[in-house]
Amino acid sequence: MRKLAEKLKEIKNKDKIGFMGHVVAGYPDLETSYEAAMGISEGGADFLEIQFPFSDPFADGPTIENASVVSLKNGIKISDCFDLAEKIAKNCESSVLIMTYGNIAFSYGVKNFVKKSEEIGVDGFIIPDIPPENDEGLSVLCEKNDLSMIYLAAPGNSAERIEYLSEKGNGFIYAVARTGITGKKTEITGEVTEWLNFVRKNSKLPIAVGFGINSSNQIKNLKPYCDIAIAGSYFVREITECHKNGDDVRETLKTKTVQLLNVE
Amino acid sequence: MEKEGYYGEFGGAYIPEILRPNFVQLKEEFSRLKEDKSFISEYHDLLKNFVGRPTPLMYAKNVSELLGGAKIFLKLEGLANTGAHKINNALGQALLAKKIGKKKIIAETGAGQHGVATACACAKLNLECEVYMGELDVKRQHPNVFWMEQFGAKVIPVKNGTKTLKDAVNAALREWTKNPEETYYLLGSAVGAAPYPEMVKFFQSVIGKETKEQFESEYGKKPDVLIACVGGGSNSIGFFSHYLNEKEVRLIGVEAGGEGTESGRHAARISGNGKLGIIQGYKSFFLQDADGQILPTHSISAGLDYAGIGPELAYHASTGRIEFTSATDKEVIEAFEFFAKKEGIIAALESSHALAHAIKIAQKMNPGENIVVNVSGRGEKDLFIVARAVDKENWIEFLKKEVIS
Repeated sequence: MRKLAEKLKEIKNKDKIGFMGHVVAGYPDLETSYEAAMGISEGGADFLEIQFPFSDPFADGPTIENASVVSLKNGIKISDCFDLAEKIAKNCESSVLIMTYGNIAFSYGVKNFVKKSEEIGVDGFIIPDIPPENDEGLSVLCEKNDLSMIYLAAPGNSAERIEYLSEKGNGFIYAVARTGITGKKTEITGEVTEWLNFVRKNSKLPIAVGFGINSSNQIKNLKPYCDIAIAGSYFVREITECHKNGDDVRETLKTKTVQLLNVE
Repeated sequence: MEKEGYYGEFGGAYIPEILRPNFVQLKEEFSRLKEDKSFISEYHDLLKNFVGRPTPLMYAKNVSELLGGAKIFLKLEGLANTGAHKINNALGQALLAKKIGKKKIIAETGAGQHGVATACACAKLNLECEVYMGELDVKRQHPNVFWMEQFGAKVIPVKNGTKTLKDAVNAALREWTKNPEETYYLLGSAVGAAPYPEMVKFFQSVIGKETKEQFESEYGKKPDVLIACVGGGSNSIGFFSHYLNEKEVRLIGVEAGGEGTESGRHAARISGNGKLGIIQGYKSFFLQDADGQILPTHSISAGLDYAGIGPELAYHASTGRIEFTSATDKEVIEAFEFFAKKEGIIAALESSHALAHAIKIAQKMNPGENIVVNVSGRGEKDLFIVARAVDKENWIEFLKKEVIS
């Protein structure tokens, strides 16, 4: 059984809220992104999103966009990203997912991209600009290789659309909690819970909620409405801060994650 | 059957789910309004009385005789209000936005031409207008920022990422997702996710329609060759639109050859080394590296300085229906000067790419044959670039005096 399925089972059995952390590969440099990922994992993240930087990240907010620019300026190649993902997948307990954009997989060749990911112990993909109807064959390839294609659902989606996305996807569905893009503070308002209930009603998969999460209080409040909480931009900001101050990245990120997950 | 929004394997809509509701609405409203007689008649009325259409089709007699080959005709889009074809699309989409109840138009702009056309259309139609522009472009293109502001638009400098066009696109898309009910995203070229390429072609096809009517009523036959410059592709796809099915007419797109396609400093996707990719919502040819990262481009003309090409053009390139070539910065300046001196036409540097190629091929054709070139814009906007290129010392001297005074 892949780690992703194990983690989902564990979340269900323990009746806990799962958690997914995030790093941009090569930001601020390869070594730091590795240490950060390990720290987040050791702090208790069930899943880790490793973002392969893309030159035109139009579904990301400014925080991750800027981190991607820095990484690419450092000369990071997709082969480096795969090496990093392999090292992380091998050494940590978390289930590792690749987050990137369609052209990165397309340029690599979708078949090779899936095969390579499977070989190095990656469990699936989050590719926001690849909708199921134009998926370049990724869903079928994922199925064949026992990987998960994770689709995003966003406010404005109809009941049918959410059902369709959950049928085409695998593992869990990634529900965007706010109209807008990653990285702005989300309050857990009635609007958010109403939206998550709507996703819950129509999705055949567990629900992960992302965008704008940065406190344990938010995660605590989200627990009744979803299965997994996701923090992305929050970690990019923490990594930036940590790197700037010369702190031990692994230790600091571990502590931060433990604090974030302190929801009891 | 071809999938909706595709041209062969090109095009499509590769968009995040968060943008999907906006695109679904746009597609429905566009399908409805393009068949709506009162919408079309209001659009045509604006084209006639505000844009100044039809634009003339001029026989470039002096140049044709000097070159001693085919006759060259110029479709003078530069005589449209704001000085380029961009207004046809900006006005069409702004009117559509108004009809479907949007209050605010957002747009991105690189060098500023599309921003100026959009700001102008919004002023005319009484719509609020916000133009996103990379911070570096804001600094480089002050005159266009000035004109946008004169039209009442708010220009928002984008400080993220590389601070240029693509970051402005990202910022505009973000703004659109934040407020989809009230805002309309006005895309300026025949690129992006479906239905934008189709919509931009729809509003630009007026160029092709007029050209066909004007040429055939005057000369009683079809032209032999049509030539247009190609950035994203809005002027060329509009200009070629009425001849795509008439195989005896050669259609030639001219891309930005920059410092030469071997130099790596150019924007030639088809005639250079573009590769199939999925970027900014659509599948087409893009200048990209081995990993699929977009490469920086270069052209003397800001309007052609773009890494992708519209999906319908990519499709016609793949079938061979449209031929593609490029012109270098140097050839472009020469063509610019030649047409200014011999025909009294100051063409935009973008359009001068098409003129450069017309010069090349006219000489090899015979006087019984006809070439029509789409002069997509006029060149007064390029004063700062051309003056520096052809009259550097006097120009710098002038700028210095201006600063002191």
